[in-house]
Amino acid sequence: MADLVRRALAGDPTALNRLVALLTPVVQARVARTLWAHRSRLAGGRVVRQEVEDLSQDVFLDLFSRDAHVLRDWQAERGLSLENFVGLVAERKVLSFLRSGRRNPWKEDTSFTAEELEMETPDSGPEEIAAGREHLDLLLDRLREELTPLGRWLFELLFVQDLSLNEVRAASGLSADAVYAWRSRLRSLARKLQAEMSGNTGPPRKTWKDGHV
Amino acid sequence: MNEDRLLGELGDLARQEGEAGKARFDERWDRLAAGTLTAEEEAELKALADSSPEMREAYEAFRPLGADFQARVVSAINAERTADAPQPAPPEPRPLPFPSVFRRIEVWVGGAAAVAAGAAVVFFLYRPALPLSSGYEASLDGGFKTDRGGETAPSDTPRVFGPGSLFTLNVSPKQPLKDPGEVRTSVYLSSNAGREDLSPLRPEPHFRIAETGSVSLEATMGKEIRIPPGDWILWTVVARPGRIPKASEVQTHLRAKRYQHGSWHAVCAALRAEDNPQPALWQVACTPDFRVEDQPAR
Repeated sequence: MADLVRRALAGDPTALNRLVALLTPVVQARVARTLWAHRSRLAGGRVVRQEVEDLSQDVFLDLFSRDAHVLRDWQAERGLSLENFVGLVAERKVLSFLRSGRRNPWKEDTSFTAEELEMETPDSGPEEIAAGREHLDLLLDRLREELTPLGRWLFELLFVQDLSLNEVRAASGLSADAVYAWRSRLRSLARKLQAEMSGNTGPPRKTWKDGHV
Repeated sequence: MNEDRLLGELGDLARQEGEAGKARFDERWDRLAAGTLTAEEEAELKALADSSPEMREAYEAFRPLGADFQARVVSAINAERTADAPQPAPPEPRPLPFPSVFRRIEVWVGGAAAVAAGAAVVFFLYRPALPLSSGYEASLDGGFKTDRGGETAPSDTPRVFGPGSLFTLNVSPKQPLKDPGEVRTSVYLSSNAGREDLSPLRPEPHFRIAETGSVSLEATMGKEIRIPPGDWILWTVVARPGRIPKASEVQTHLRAKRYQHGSWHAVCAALRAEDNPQPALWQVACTPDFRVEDQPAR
């Protein structure tokens, strides 16, 4: 696969056709899943099939634009398969689209505070628990939107799969120091996003395309 | 909240979402997108699709995008690459011919100077075109706006042009160009509500080009500019000399990043709302919708 990517990036038209053919189902399925999971945020009257097609094309353009700088970030030795890497790019694209689209859940819902995140106490009623869950959902989407595929992979290993340091090192090929650095970056990002969603935005937000996290 | 605890909760949530997603759409749906379902699995998913409008929509979302889609993607990637590609280096200067009556030493000394001068001239002539550092926006004036009972028409009401109407088009960089240099123009026409191919406007109208890189057109409908009756959008391409794209290239570029299936009105609205695009050797701007009637302006 790495060889196919290399040839496609070098301008081999056959390799590019082959790569697009291989990745199209991966991109489509990830776009469809993500869109479906958040379809309540899709503006009324939008046809999901059409959005899947348009967003899938956008994902490919993101991968190949500006000298394919996003695709060139993929490194097989980091343990993330190309399909997974591209899937994460697709998921991020959909989340970004939903956030900047006609319906903007963040503008509608900016009352998220640190205190509210603490609300999952035994005394909390069903409404409070639902609201806390909703806020966490939004924060998770923002985190996914902000992170690079490598950042997402580290979040997955550290906090979703809850692996030990040694296991993360083995899975990612990163040094212990690098894993610690990523844990710290993830903490900082979560804190920053939490503050932004609380209305305490601080300095202007940079994006992944600006070379962040 | 402790950030590790927060990240832990986010991780738990991501895990739960992943499990729910797999329960909702198992691996068969991935194989549907890949076109590798067995006949039995395909029948199962079709039965599910027939069970509710929601599942029908899901089936449509995962139904393979197909070879046409892949061809469009490859074409859009190639168009993007062309736009991103560094400009070719100036060609090697060819040795200049010298009269044979020159003595060898004169040729040697004079020739060196001439080659240097020639190289400078060639370099000047073939200086790589600099990209236009800003996107462009178009505004339209002239004609009239339809009104109701003498009331002022809303600002988004399309302008209407008839034979003899003054048609004023201004196309300016959204941000001052870093290197205005020389630019050329080309104009394409599309309907408002359709999705047809862009057509070059003929006869090609003559634009005034300002030193800032802005271009403008003042024309009389039916004379310098001829557009049949209907609801239209004009697409003005501003490009470096020799870099005017073909209509198909403009179309691919416009559709690549915006509503691929939308009307030209939707594509234009998305283009107009867009932040400044990346520097490129050509930029495109669209007018608001306008109408041409076959009756003289009221």
